[in-house]
Amino acid sequence: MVIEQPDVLVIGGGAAGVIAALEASKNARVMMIAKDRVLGGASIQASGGVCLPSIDGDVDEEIELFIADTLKGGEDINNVDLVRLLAQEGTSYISYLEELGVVFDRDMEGNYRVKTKFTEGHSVKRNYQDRRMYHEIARVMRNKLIHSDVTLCEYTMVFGLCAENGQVIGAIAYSIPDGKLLYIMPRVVVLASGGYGQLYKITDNAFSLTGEGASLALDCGAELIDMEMVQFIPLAFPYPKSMLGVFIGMCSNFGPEVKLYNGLGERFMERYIPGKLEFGTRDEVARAIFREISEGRGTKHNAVVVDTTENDPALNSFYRVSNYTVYSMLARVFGEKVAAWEEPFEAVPSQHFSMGGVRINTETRTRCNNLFAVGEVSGGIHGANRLAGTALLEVIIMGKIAGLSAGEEALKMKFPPNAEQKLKEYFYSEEAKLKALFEPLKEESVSGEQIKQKIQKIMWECGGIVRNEHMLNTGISEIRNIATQLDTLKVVDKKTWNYSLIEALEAKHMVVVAEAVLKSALLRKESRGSHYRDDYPDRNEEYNGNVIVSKTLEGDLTATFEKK
Amino acid sequence: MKVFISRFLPDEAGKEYLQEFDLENTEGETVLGVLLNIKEKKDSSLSFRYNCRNEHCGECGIRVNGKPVLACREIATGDSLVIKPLARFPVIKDLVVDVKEALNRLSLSLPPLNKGYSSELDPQTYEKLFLAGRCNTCLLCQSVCPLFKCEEEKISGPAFFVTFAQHLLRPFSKSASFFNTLFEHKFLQCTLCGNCSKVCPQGVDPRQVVSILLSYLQQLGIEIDQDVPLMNSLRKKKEK
Repeated sequence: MVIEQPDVLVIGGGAAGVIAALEASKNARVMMIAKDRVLGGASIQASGGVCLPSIDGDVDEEIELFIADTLKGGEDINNVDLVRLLAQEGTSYISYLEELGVVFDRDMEGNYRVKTKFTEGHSVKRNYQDRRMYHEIARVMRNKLIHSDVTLCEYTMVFGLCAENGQVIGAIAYSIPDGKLLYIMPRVVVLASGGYGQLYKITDNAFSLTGEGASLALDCGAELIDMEMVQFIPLAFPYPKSMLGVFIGMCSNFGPEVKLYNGLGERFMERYIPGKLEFGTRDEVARAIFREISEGRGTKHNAVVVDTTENDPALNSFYRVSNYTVYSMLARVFGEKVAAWEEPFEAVPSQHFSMGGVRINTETRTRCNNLFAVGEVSGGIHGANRLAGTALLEVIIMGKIAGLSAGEEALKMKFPPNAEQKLKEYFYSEEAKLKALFEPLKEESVSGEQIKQKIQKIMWECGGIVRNEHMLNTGISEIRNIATQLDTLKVVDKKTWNYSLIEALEAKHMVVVAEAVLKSALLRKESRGSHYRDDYPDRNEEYNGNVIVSKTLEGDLTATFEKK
Repeated sequence: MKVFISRFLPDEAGKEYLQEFDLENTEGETVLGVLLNIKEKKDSSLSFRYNCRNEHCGECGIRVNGKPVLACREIATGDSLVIKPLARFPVIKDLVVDVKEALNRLSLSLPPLNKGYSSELDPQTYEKLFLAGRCNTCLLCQSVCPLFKCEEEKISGPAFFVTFAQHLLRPFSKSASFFNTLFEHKFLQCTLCGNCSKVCPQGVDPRQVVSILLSYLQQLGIEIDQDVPLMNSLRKKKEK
C-alpha cells in the first residue's frame, strides 16, 4: 500500500480550492483532488458578475455599506466576523487576481466594467461584469496550477476521511480514469468541494455538486451551520429532462411587461404580492411559482408560463445582449420566437446555492483542528440568504485565507502516536466496503443513481422551497428509510470511468447531508431568508441565531439551536 | 429513435464497435439527455464525460453524425444518431478521450507582470482578442484541426493559438523570444482552413485570432518565411 503524505490535501477543484492550493503551496507540499476537471464545478458556471466592496472610491464607507447590505440580505444570522473579513479583504479582489495574471474587462474609458443597473440587495452599483464569464479566471488558474508544485489529481473523488482525537489523519479517494484507490495521510485538509445542490431534483448545479464535503466534515467532528438555508431561483428550464433546472434567471431579465400565468391562465402573482407582482424578490417569486405547481395549477409540464409578448420589441436586443447565454439557450431549446419575445415559454423554480455548510472561523478552521473549509461547502457568511455576486468574491478571498492558514497549520501539526496503524486499518476497512459494492449479499439491489433520484425527489417535495412540520417529518422518515437500503447498493464492475461507483459513493454521503438539511429546517420554527415554512410564515426574533448540526459518536445527527 | 454509440473497452484489447440502442420519447431532448437515458435505463456501463449541462464546463465534447458538438448543447433530432468520441484524441473508453495532455499544453509559464494593463494593441484588435477569451477549452476546435495531433508534442492547434493570444492582453514586455513558442507549436503550418471557427460553441473565431497574431509578429519586426502554409494561404485569400 503506497500512502501519499502531502502537507496539505485540498479537496475540490473550483476557484476556492485552486486559490487555497496555490497559497498553501508557497510553503507546503500540496496535493489537490478534484472530482472533475479543474474549474469544472460551480465556479465555471458563474455568470462572471462579482459584487466588490469597493471598485474605487471611499473605501471605509464602502466596506461598511457592503457589510450592512450582506447582513440585511442574510437577515442578521450571518457570522459577522466572516462578513467583515470578506468585506475588508474583498477590496483587494482585483489587485490580487491581476497579480496572478487575470485581465479584467474594461469599458471604452479603461474603467472596470460595472453593471449600470442596481443589483438586487446591493445599495450601490458594485457589480463588476465580465463578458467572458468566468473563463479568463479559469484559464489563469489552470495556468498557475500547472506551473506550480501542486500535485494535481483530476477526476478523483475523496469518499472518506479518517479522524483521531479531533484531528483528521487520513483520506481515501477513488481515481475515475484508472479505477485505483488513493491512500493519503495529509497533515492538513482543506475542504473546497462545493455545495449540496444535487440533493434536489430541480437544480442548476452541475452533476458533481452532491455535497459530500459536509458529510466528510461531520465524520471528523466538525459542525454544520444553517443547513436549512438553500437558495432557489424563480426561473429555470422545465424540460427537456437533461436540462431540468438549468438556470434561466429572474423575471427582470425578460422586459418590463413580463407576466407569469399558471396552467389555468391566471396571473397568479396578484394573489401573492399584488404590489410587486413579477418583480418581487427571487424568494417571493420562486415560492409563488412552487405553490402554483405543487397545488396542481401548473401546466402539463408542471411549470408556469412566462409571457414576454407584451413587451416593446425594441427593447429585446438590449435584454438579449445583457443575458447572452440564457437567451441563446432559450432560442435553441424553445425556438427563436421565444428569445425574440414573440412567444411565451414555460419555467420552473430551481435550486441555486447552498448558504449552509461547514462551520468555520475567520481562519476558515472547522471544529476539527486541522480541517479547513472554504467556498460553498462552508457556511455562515451569507446567513439566511446570499446576495447576488458575492459567491465569486468569497471563493477568492476566503480561498486565499484558507491556503495561508492550512500552510501554517501544516508546520505545527503532529500526528497522534498510533496514527499510521489506525489509518491502515481504516484503509483496509474502506477498501473492503468498496469491494462489497460490486457483490452485494442481498438478492435485491439498488444502484447509486436510483438512491440519488429518490433523495432528490424527497428533498424537492419535503425540504424545498416551501416547508412545514409535517413535510419535514415525512422527509426525515423517508430519508432514514433510504439509508437502510444503502447496504443493498450495487455497482457495475468495470475498471475505469466507473460513474456507477461514484454515484454509489455519493449516495452514501447524500443521505447524511439530506438529513442534516431536513433536521435543521425542522428546528427553525420561523420563516427567514430563503427558509420558508407555511406553518410559521413570519420571522421570529427568538430564532435570531444559528442551527448547528453535529454527529454523535454513535453516528446520529443532532441539531441544536444557538442564539446570537 | 435509433442511436448508435461507439464502444471501446481498453482492458479487453478489443476493437471499437458501434452498439445500437432503440429509444422512445426523445422529443426535444439534448444528446446528453439521450446518453443519460441510455446509461440509466439500458446500459449503465456506458462511459462519457459531462458535468454542468449548460455549455460552460467544456466536458461533454463528442461527435454526433460526424459533427463535433457539446452533448449538452445539441438537440437530438432525426431518426438516427451516430455518436462517437472526439477525433484526434486517444480514446480511453467509449466516448471518453484523453484531453489531459492537450489541456496542459495550453498553459505556458508567464514572465512577471507589470502594473496596470496592456495598451499596445489598437482598441479594435484588443476587443477581438478579448472576446476570444470566452474559450472554455472544450477542444472541439482541436478535433477538427488538420494540424493537431495529440500524440505529438507541440502541435497544439487552434485552442493553443487562442490561449496564447490572451497573453497579448497581459501587461508584460513581450520580447521576440517569447514568440518562439508559437513557431515551435507549428503556428506557420496553419492553412487558415477555418474548420475550427465553424465548430466553436462559444462563437470564438480562432482563424481570426491567427491572423491577428501574425500581424502582431510582423509589427514586432519578426521576420517570417514567405514559403510556409500560413503565408501561402494568406496570399491565396488576398488574391480571391
